[in-house]
Amino acid sequence: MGWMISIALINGLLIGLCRSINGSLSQNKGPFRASFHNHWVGAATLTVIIFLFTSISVSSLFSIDSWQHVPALSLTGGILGALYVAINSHILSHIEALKAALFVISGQMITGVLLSISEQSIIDFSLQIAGVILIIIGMFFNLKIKNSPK
Amino acid sequence: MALPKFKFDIHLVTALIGGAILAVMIQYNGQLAEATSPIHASWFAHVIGALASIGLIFIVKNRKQNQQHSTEQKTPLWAYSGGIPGALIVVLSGITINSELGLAGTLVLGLVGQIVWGLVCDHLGWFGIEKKAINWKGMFSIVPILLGSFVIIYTRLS
Repeated sequence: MGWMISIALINGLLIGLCRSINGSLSQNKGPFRASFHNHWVGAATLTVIIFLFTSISVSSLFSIDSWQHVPALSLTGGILGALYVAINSHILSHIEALKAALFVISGQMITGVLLSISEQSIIDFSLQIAGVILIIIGMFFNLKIKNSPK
Repeated sequence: MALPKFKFDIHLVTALIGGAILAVMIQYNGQLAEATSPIHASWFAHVIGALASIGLIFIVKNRKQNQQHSTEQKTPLWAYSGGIPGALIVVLSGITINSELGLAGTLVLGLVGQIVWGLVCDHLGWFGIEKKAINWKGMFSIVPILLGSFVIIYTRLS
């Protein structure tokens, strides 16, 4: 369990590292080129991982047959990914890393609640609204502390 | 007490929108992972993302956005390596999601890791960020946002 907790924490650090590296590239190349390089390097790395550590054959990845299993709607996920990396890379050259992380998390959580709104019981819904209120309080303090005179 | 004055910062709104896009993306990629496997799904998502970003580069080609970033400054090789931790994230989360931590634990600890990363980067001035010593008042915003996220994640997934 301790190991798993460490891995999950390291995963969060890697998410931050990934965003920071892309943010640096964005300063020289622009956010969209940063997004492009992030995605092809990621695809290449995954290809190596798949080749070395899984039983999936790499050639099958490129076959038309395997792409037919990809639901059309899921293609949107890749497009959103391109946009998301560009946005993240762009903001990191304008606001602090912690602030960026906090606001991205807030946007992600609140949207998550909105996406699942129809499938909730009243109790779950109330708890989620409580969560959203806590997040809004956190964002409020984040803005207030920065602007208060020292 | 005077009302706090908020300076409207468009980048904070952009960050919120980025988070919103991330949430929708995770939903779609999750569907893809169910239809195939997590590592397949991520591979497809990366390939489609690479193609889509070429499209985006062309769309903004003649806009100021792309021109203001001159390539005069030499880009270090490591700056191209963002995709490597990106790919590792997929593999590591695949491990922890299937452990006792489950999806909720993986997500929550991932958020903690992201925030720690942000604190360290700001404190040490990594990646060209202006050095900014850790201010403990920051806990007033970190704690409620993390707590709110925990509540949301555990209610959504229980």
